[in-house]
Amino acid sequence: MSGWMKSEKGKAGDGKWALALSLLLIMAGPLIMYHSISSGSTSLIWIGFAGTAIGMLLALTKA
Amino acid sequence: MGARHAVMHISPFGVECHWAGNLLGMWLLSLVPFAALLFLMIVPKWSSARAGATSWFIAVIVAFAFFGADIDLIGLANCKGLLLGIYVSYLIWSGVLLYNLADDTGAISQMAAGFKSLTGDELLQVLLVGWTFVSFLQGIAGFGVPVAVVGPMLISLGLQPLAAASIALLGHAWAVTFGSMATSFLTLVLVTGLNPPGLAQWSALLLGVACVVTGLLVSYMYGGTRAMARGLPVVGAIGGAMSLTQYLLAALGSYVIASTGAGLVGCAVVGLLSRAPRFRSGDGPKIERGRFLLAFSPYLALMALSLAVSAEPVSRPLSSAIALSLPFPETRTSLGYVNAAVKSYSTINLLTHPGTLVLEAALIGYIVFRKGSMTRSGIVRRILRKTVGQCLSPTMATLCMVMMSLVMNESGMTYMLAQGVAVGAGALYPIISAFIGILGCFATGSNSGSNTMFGAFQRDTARLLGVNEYVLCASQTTGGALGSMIAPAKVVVGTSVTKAAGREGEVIHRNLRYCLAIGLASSLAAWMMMLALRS
Repeated sequence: MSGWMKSEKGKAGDGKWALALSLLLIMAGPLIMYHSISSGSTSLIWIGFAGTAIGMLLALTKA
Repeated sequence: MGARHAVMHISPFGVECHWAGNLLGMWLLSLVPFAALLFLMIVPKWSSARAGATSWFIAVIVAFAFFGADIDLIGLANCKGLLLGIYVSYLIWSGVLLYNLADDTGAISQMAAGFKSLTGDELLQVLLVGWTFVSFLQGIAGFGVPVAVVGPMLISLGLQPLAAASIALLGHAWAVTFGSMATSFLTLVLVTGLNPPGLAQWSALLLGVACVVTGLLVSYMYGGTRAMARGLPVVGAIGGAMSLTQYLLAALGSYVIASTGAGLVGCAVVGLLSRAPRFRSGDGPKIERGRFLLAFSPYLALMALSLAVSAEPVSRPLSSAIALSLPFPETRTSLGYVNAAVKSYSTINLLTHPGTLVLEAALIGYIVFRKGSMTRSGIVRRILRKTVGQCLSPTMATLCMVMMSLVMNESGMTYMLAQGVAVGAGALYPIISAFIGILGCFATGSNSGSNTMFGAFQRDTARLLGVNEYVLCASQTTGGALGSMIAPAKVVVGTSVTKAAGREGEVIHRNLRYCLAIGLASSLAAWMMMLALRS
């Protein structure tokens, strides 16, 4: 396998991991926010929001 | 549409809502996320995930800065979007799995040979699969299943992936209102409080117009103006029969089978037409009936399963068996837009969800294919790996776009868009009323969602303008049905089963023209009906 092909494969692999991480954050973020609102804890809501936003940012740059 | 300092209306949630400030400015701001989504998908051809994520950021900023949304509202809107996204993604995963199974076993090419042996006329084949059969499927199964099933079949007939996705989306849309057990129609009845028989007849009339125009446009999409001209008598016969059947069933109060019956009659008319010398099969590939039924077995199983779960004695115990849903409290923006509390939002009934039915059909198909010696070694591992690889991106796209839409809906932006159009159009509003339905479906991903959001709005506008409220609400649901062909959540289903994932922008761009054309035709029909009622 040539070096060029290796690097392309590496890129594709990175993309899939980034996509999976992005999906995880986009799914976990809103659930954290929901939990936070239901339980009345205000600190977690911003963590959930940040998680969702980072997930969206990853989707924007890697998808 | 001029500057207004305080506009009051009754929202579809039955709650008063006060808009303050410049209506035009607010309207333009509410347009920005939608416009950005469409622009990014159509012009630079960004993937729907990228465009959706960008529009999500824009929607969140506009909601926070201008529409008085707080972090609680944004959090709950995103959570609702996540639930809706999971609902759609489950169908995408199972639809792609079924397609990969059929593709790997050669069932797709055998089905194609079966359709070709029925009639040698390619246009009639496309009309059969992409218009009548998909409408029949819409009658018995809901949310994207018809698109997931028919997309690969159209590819097997030799259509390009984009054309297959576009035709599957276009062909089924007119049948959505009375499809999947008439849930969209019954939702409209519920939110407007209008008399069901009257509303059903007007809706069936407008959807009948949409049905015939859809047939013509499917012909056009297949082979341009020549195919459209050649298909005119055939489309007239099939479309007339389907529209009449739907109207009669709706008028008789059989709302839940109006689309199914119409689709079935359409398929029967195609069957009759295929016996005419002009349409008889030529020297094309012949296939034994047994081989065709074997290849078709998972789809037959899907139809049987869909029919079974639509029967109340079966659906009632199954629906309550394993249901995933979350309750949501009331939210309110500082501008006064209220989203009522809901006990269970976007409930996923695991045993009756379309995705589960498709998975069960795939399992039955696998067993049948294995018995029929159609499977090769390592098939399970191969199709699972392929499905995971194909579904990650569409899932991401669905989640990004649905969450963006929900932020817009819950902060009142989508409602502001519709209100602005109504104020701007004034007396001409009936002509564009269907476009409000289309907007609602684009935003929520479903005809039911559109009717929930704008049903009462259309009724109130009709009363304000002094026009017939039944016709205007019928126009709403017609638009809501037509919006299915461009709703991102459904387009992703179409592209992911036709090997066109990531090209959602191109499909939306292509279908937008047809959607607007049919919307205009049905709106003009609604307008003429109103004029006739006045005189």
